[in-house]
Amino acid sequence: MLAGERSLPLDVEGAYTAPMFLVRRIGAGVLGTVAEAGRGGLLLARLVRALPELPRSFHEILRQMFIVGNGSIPLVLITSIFTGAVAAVQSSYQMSTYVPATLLGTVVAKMVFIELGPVLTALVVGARVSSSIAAELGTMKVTEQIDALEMLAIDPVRYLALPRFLACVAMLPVLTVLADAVAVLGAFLVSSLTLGISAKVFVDGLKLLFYAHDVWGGLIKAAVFGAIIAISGVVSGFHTEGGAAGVGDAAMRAVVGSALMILVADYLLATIIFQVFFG
Amino acid sequence: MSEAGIVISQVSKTFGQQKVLDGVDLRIARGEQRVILGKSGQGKSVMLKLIVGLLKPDRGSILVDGEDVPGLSRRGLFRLRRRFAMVFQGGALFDSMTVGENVALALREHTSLEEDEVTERARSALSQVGLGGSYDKMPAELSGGMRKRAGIARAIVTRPDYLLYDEPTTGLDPISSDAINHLILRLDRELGVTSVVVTHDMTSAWTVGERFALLNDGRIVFDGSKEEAQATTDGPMRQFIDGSSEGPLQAF
Ligand SMILES: Nc1ncnc2c1ncn2[C@@H]1O[C@H](COP(=O)(O)OP(=O)(O)OP(=O)(O)O)[C@@H](O)[C@H]1O
Ligand SMILES: [Mg+2]
Repeated sequence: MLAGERSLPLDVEGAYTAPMFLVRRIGAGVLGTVAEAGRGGLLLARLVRALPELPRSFHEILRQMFIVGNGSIPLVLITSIFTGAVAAVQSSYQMSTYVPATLLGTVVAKMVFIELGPVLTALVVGARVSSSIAAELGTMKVTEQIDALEMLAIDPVRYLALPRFLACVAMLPVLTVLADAVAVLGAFLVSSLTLGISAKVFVDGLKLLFYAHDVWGGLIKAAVFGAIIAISGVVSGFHTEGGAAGVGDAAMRAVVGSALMILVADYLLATIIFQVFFG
Repeated sequence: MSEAGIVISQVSKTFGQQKVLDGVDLRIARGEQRVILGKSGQGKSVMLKLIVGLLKPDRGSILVDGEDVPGLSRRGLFRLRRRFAMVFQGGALFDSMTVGENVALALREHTSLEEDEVTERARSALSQVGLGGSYDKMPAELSGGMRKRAGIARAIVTRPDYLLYDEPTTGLDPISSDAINHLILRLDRELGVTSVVVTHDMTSAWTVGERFALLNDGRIVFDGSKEEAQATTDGPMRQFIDGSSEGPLQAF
């Protein structure tokens, strides 16, 4: 039967089954994503309900903040210095002769503060943190440690999910501030070393059209991305089934889920923050 | 009328296509020492998880001291579980904490005991299972049998009314097994706990059991006192006691 099923797309019915197979795959994918988003929403509701018990988890929150923040610093440094450098090179190429060089700093700063800083930080930190949350909680699930918590009448959402959630929400904006600064530094270095733009011209450009709310908007996005990263990791972890392979699968779902949700949320937030509120 | 103890009636549980429990009826009276026997994979662990609401039955009712477990809210479940403790088949120790912290966790979370009182009680629970020296070890540093015993210490430290043991002696050497059996007996006698011991270790079953049930093919096929169990001459219970592959119970 198995061999038969494998060869189906090449069969006489192939013309019919291959598209059906694709439709079914896509359908299952969409349903899976909707289910995951639904679980995320439920988890968020339970996190909010667990908030009053927050003081009990104070130490654990600090510990998780350290894990999320400190551990991600090298990753953020490398990502953002190159992000800034690329932003400078690309902008300079596109602007070339038409636009005065002063505007280079302006353009780079806008790109970094609004978009590149928060989004790229969230993507790389999200890959690292959501997979690690999913793998940790997933292992606890398959070794019955989550059941053991339940048996001790300790709510896993309050005890495990809440500290991770708050740590991510708090640390993503912090890491984004770091990323913004380092990216601007990267752009500055490239501009002055290879593009022949003087420090004064670059800095003048930075100051031109600088709005604090660009930075604030980016940081609000970063906090939302932090929530997405944690929820994606926790949902995948709590729904892990079946041994080591299940844990690997959970980590993968967490990373894919957080990356997709970050990009979708980025679009929605861009609309809400920069058109509705600051627009 | 509400009845003290656990009353399971007509409980069924299916995972996907696989029907694990199919109309289970079982009563476990308050203060009773109940042994549940059954071949591997017959749903003994599932039954324990149903009793404490870690799983929900597809059909049937589960009453604990008159409370309908599947119908409880999460808050209600947590209230119920404060009176329960479970020794998990694989130990289920929290591997990010030391053995001592594992045992002390419930006291830290649910009582306002002073720190030295908490440590003191955790240490004493660990000594009762012969792990007095392992307070500061990590679970990964323990052997399988030691992990199981640490799981028992974590279960008894809160002095629950109901203790559910999922194969407490499987994988232990005969001497540790005997010590665990006597510990279970002592807790039953001294604290008046109701214990439910899932096992296929007959030595352990005869030592700790007062009433016996045999789970097979999704149903309880024997339910009786220790004397009745010993006196059966034929049928699945006799076969299980004798450990024979010939008889009504199929090996695989
Ligand atoms: N969460 C679950 N999801 C799917 N199937 C499950 C789940 N839990 C148990 N099962 C299935 O239910 C059946 C009974 O499992 P259970 O663990 O209760 O057996 P058991 O009687 O405790 O066996 P053993 O003596 O080997 O521990 C098994 O076939 C198992 O595959
Ligand atoms: Mg079992």
